Amino acid sequence: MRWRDRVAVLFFPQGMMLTMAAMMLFFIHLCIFASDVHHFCVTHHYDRMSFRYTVVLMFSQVISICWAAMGSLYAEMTDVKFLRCFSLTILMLNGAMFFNRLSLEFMALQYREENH
Amino acid sequence: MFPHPTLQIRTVNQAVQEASASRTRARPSLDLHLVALPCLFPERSCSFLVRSPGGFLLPGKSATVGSGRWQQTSRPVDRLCLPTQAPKGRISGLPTTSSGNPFQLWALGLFCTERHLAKRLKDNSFYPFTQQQPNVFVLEYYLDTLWKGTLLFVVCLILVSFGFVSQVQKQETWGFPAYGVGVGLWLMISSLPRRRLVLNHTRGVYHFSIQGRTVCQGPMHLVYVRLALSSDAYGRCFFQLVLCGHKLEPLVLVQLSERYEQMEYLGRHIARKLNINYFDCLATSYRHVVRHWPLGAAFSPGIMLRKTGAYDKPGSPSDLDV
Repeated sequence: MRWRDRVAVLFFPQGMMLTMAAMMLFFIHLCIFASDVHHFCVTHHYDRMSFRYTVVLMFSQVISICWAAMGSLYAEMTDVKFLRCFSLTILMLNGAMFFNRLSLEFMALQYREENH
Repeated sequence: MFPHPTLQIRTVNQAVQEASASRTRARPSLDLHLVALPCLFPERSCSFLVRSPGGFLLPGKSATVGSGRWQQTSRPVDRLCLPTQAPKGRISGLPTTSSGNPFQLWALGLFCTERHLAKRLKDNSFYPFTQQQPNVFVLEYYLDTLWKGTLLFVVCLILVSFGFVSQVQKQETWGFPAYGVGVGLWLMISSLPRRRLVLNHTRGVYHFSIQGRTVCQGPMHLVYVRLALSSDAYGRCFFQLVLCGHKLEPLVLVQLSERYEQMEYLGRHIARKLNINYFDCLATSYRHVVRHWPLGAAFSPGIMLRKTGAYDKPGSPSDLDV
């Protein structure tokens, strides 16, 4: 009964859950990005990069930014300073991850361009 | 805008006329008694006002509150035929343990939603609550995200397991239904516990709990019924009747409807039956009905007269009595 109570109350302030979900997605994106950079710059196994998941990755990053923004909005309405700083940090990290991914894609495009 | 019902204000009529003559606002008679509405709520609780659908007030805005004593003539909503008294002998003092259907808030009716609500009110005059003791109202419900989340979860699980959209033009796209599975699971789990809201007028508190665990408990002036306004691109106004409160999930009683007067009548009826506050869709309005004031305002209920200088001259007849 104890854990069930905890679950019930844990899900009630939904802003915090949105921020946590955005943070989890950010770590997943960070892992994928690190793997891509590793394959692009170090091992040069370009076929192991995540080109086949580009659509899902774009969707996922946009969703992650949206969730982080919603969580930040909810947190701004509370007076807890830690929550506000935390969710704003998550939002900024997600935005930074989006632009990092964008620049990596442009580098890959430039590399794969055929020059005759 | 919606048609304006006739106001009859006896004592302050002349003053209002003078005030309306001296100013050139669209509705000059509305700011007679200015009440800082956020003083009804504690400092940190103004967030739910912004969060609830339609938006209500921003902290720092002030509102005008008529005490609900004004009368209206020519009610066009009398066709709804609401009972004016409690119909059944439920007030017998015996506590009924089984309260109403916890899924009743899911079915709001597709067309003519306010008539649907009126029908519900005819069956149970304390809808959506049920009367447990003479002054204790109980509402048990499940959120409607339960069936929405379940539907999303099932559909996306089928899509994932049968691989319908797993690959489109050499792009792996099974991630989309995987997202749907995750989000649907979260919606389903988070709305699975049963909510219980108790309005206890004998002690003057409301009590909100999820699966037997108290989320919040507070004084009665933090719970209210209000009309939420939303308009579309063509400027038509749609109204929603929402039961909301501090740290409560907003419960939609009537979905979008265009008939302001019927909605207002229903909202006032529900608020009167449940003995809670009623707020109009406008922040500054004569149509708020404030029955419970915060504790500090018990003796001087926060009413500040504004523009006292407007009262000293005799008024000229104006167009207030429409």
